[in-house]
Amino acid sequence: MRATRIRLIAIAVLATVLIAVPAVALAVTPATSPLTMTTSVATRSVSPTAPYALDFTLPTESKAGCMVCHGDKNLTRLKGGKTINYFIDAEAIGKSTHANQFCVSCHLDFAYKAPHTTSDWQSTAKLACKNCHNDQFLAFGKGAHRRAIDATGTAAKLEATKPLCGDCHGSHDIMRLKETSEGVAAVGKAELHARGYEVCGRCHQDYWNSYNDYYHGAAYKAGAKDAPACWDCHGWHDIYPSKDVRSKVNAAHLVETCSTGDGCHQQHGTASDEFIKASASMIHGKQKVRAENPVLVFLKRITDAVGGLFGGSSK
Amino acid sequence: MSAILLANVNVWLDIIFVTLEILVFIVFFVVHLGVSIPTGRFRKQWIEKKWPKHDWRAPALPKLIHFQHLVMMLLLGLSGMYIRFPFFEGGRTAMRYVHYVAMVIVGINFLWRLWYAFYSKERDYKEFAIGKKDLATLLGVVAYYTYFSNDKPHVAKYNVMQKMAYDMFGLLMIAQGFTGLALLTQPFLFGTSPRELLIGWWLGPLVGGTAMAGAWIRVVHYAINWLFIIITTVHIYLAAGIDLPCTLDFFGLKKLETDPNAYHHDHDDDHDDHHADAPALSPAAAEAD
Repeated sequence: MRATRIRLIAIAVLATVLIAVPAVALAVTPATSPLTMTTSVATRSVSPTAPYALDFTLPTESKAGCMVCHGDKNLTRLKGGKTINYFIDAEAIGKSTHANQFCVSCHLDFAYKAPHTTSDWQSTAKLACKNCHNDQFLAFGKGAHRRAIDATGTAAKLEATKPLCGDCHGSHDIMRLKETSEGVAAVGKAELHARGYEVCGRCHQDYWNSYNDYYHGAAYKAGAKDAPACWDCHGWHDIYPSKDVRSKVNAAHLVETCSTGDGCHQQHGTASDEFIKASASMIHGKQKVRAENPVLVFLKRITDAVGGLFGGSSK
Repeated sequence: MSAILLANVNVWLDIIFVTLEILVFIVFFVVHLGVSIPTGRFRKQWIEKKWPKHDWRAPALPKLIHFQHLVMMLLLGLSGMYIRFPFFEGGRTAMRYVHYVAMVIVGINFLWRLWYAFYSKERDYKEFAIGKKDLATLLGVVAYYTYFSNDKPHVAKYNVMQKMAYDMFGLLMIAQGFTGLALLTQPFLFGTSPRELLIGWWLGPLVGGTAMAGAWIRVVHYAINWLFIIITTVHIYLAAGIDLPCTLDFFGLKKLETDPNAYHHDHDDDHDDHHADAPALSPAAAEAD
């Protein structure tokens, strides 16, 4: 009788353990599948300097999970002595042409844990475009911005300065250029047209500065919609140095570039070898002509001298 | 070569005309006005109110058109300068339309003025003709305005320099209209553009094609624009500084008092002797700048 009682108690304890342990385990580990779009499991870092460690069990097929943290305007970290902000504007993504893409469509190397320990996530994201835009990537690979992968030493450093897709096109706010039912293409094209400095000028500062002739550069910088952006003349993905005969702005192609297709000078009487070449040289050449003009040189010396008297820069 | 030449010419035009306009402004609004103080002309006009007398007031319509013409010329200058030097964000296309509309109105004004001069009841074209008698007074008029003489010769409603300035204004308007139309490249007649019709066939072969001809015509158009600005600067100084009552009347600000015997009485001490002897004085003569 006593032995039976002991056996019953042992069975009860065993049953309790068998039921309770999975229940506790289930209570600790949320019952989510990778496809579920739950967003409440990740937590924000408390402060930019606080250590944090999260094991991501985030769903991968949505943006909502990422935006739990990256939707916070105050999401910052100290990195190399600088405060880096990791906020992503959900509204900008929503308006962009990639509104329906998942974060991991471009952030292919997302590590599913925090800190997001990947070696070069920016390059990965900037190059992810090629997975969908293959034709453009192949054209890009022919042009001057192609990186030589076999370069070493100093050459490799130089190659590393060349732009990837995202450097020119931007990231989360890439505008829509294809027409939709909302008619957003015109807005997107206008926005893109105005981004000459961001797309090209940031790196090609000297050419940006010299783009100031009366009817192209000066007007473009003043927001004229009918003045050409850099790529309207120089082309885009398969862009070449102007000395390269394949370049759209090489002397061999200037008349064609300026006067045919979408060219501006296709109206009667505006396209000729003589005129196009004369005007093309003015487009980036006026600054040099002004810099060499004796009267302007004299005036600059006077203004510099006067500025120097009052403690200004005499550059 | 032509590229550098074109760039150089354009830069030089900017420098020369800006400098010239500044010099003209200083010469008239500072030097000429300044010299009028020790010579006593400033006191007579601005303090003693001895302004030139007139025996005639301009009718309302010419005054209205003059005002409207002034506004249109200002718009043309402003929009034209904007097309060359976009000095604020945005509006190049809008400025082009402003330029076109003002150009059409100014063209109509010009045609109206020709009609007014030759066919209207007023028919004042003779007032703008420069004859031997006018030319004979040229040195005298120049001497008066440069303070070398206190006598300003009068032989007609307008003095010889006024006539030259007004005639030149008319000729410049024709030239500016021509060069402006020659900049238009849109086909309008049997597929040809105004540029091809006006300059392509004769200037084109000389400078390397119709398009290059257009580039050089743009240079001329820009230069004439500055001539207008300079002439208008002088006109404003003389109109306000030499004959303020007439100017105020022209803009409807104060009615001009007329005197039928304006030129038979002494109205300006400077001119006393001259008017007494004036042999060829027009009965309707009036002085204005």
